[in-house]
Amino acid sequence: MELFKTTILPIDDPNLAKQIFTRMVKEQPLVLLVVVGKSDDINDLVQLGDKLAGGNRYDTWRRVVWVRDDNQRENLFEGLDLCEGVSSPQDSDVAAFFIDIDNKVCETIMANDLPATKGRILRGFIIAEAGA
Amino acid sequence: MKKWNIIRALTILLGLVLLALLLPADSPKSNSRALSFQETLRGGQARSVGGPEGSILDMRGTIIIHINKDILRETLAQQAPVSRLLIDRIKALRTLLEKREESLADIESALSMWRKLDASQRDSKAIDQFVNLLKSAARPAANLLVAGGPTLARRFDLLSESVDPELLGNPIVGYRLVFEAGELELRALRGELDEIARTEGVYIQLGGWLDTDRESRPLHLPGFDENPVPDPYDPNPYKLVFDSAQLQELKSYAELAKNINAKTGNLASNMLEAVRALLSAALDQTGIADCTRFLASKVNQARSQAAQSAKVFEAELETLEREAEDFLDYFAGLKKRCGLKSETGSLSPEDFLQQSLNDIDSLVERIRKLQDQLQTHKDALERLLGSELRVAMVSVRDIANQAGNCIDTARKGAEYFKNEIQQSIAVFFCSRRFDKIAYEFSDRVFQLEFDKIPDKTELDLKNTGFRQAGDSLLVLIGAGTRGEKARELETARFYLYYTTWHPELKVGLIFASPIGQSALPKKFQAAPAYSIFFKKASRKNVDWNEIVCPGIGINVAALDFDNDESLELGLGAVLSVLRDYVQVGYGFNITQNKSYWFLGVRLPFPVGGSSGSIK
Repeated sequence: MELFKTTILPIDDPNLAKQIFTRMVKEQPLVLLVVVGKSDDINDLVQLGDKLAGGNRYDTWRRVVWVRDDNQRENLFEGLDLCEGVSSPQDSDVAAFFIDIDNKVCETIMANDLPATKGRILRGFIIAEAGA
Repeated sequence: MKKWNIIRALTILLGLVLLALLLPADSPKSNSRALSFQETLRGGQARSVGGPEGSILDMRGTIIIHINKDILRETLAQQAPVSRLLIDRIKALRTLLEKREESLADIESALSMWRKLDASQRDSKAIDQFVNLLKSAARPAANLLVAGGPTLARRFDLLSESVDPELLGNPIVGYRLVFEAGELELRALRGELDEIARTEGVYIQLGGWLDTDRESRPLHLPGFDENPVPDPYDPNPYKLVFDSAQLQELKSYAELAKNINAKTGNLASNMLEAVRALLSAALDQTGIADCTRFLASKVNQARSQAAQSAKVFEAELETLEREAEDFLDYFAGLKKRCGLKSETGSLSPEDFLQQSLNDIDSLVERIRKLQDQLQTHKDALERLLGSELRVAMVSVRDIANQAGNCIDTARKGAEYFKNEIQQSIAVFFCSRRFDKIAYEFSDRVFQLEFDKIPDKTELDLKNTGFRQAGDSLLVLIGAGTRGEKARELETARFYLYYTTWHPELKVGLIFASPIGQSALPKKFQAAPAYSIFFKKASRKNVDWNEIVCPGIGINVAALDFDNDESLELGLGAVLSVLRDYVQVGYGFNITQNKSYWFLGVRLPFPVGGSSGSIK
């Protein structure tokens, strides 16, 4: 699969993964869809997310970060700010989440909500773009 | 002393002018109103009216009344047994959907800014600007998703499924879908509400009234009622002719000027004298004195007939005569008080007018009492009269009927006079004349079910009948349920004025002071005059139109600077304020080839008319 708006974090170098992730969260005015895991539903979610982020046709502020290794949750997502009532991304039930324009986790897609529809992903992006 | 009174009066007038200037324009809140209005003028120009655009209409325009059914539905729902949650959701969705176009335009701008941001190395100020723009652009759609709940989310998901995911990569497309889903959801919720309204038998009524000084006239709003349409009246402010009352007024001012010129004294005392004399003359015009005199003489006549027939009958008539004479004494006293300098000299003009109003009020009360007494005596006389006095009875009945009619006319005259003064005073104290009118829909106004309400209706002011500047138009929308009277939901009031430059013809009295040497025994000369003022009403401020009402124009006066009793024509430029009650100008006596300046007055009640001119 060809991805244009997606950053795939390295599995074998946790420090580099952390560095890339932190830079994407903190240093750029981006709205992120962070997808965690590796399954057919997750693959579909990443591909769909990439297209809805603009794919190769539209230059947008939307990006997808794919954390393929579920074990990196603790390390990567530690210290992320959460919007009220939102599950922690360190929770293994969370299959994907959105980091809004204010760098807060504001929307989650739970594992049992998979496969995610286009509507579900778009709703997440829009809510994240409005900020907290 | 008099000079100080004048100075004080002028200070008060100046204060009123300043107050009017400082008063904020009438600006009823226009947010979330079911009724909105558009005015179309003769030239075809259209403008919104009501709310911040002001509540003043042109006398000769057409008003289009738009009914926003969405807002009306929400207002109605608050009064029907509908769940609060449903109403709140409808209101929230509608409010957010109103931001659709602005939001989509901002998303476009954010995309464009994003591209530039990329090229400019993303400096922090530019980033902040971008973030703020994106957040504000996205918020209506995000809030819509939250407010719409799971049903709106399902609609959005369904709509998204039908679109190619690559196209959805353009944020605009996604945002547009959110608003579309919102529209669908709102439509469904409104359907629910309409169903409830149908079940509950809710109906809507829309009515319009034209409020004038004399009446509140129901108007015909096409589609909403079957009220009769009055004869079309199209006022033409450009037609400058004296009406009969103005001609009579001019005559009275001429007589008054003659009297004033014959007296000595300074300008101030002569001006007050003029006011007093005009007030006294106006009292005479009510016909009260003539009527009472007529009554007394007729009663006296009847008494002499009756004296031959029955003592008891005579006693009754004597009482009646006494009461009539008492009334005449009271009236004479009142007139005297109006004319006495010692009674009114120390009063300021507004107190003077107020006192006059009180006098007129008590006069009306006295007339009413006299009318009651007359009826009592008439009944008593009828009882007293036996068959042997049948002839006299016919005569007494005749007198009683004539007197009754006469008193009634006089009462109307006094009440009219009182109203004139009352309105003038009310205007100066900024009170609205129409505040206390209670409006109710008549049987001629349709009770329309919600889905039968037209979206708009049009009222050509021509079809509201006779009207004058300062009259008011009220539009009321109400709702009720089967078997119940409609409750008021919203009202809108408009004031009618000539909002374009137009001439106005006014009659008055001027005090002209020749510049340089003159043959006049005094420094000034009173003269009847008329002015053609050019005016244009404010679109925003009713008080400005009602109180300040300035004018600029031409003054034409009948002067006699050489005191030879042949009139000389004076032409001048004049400025007026306070509805032309106060005028000042500079003129030229064409016959005498002499300049003069002048002060002019006009009084807030009819001068020189007769009780027959009561409107």
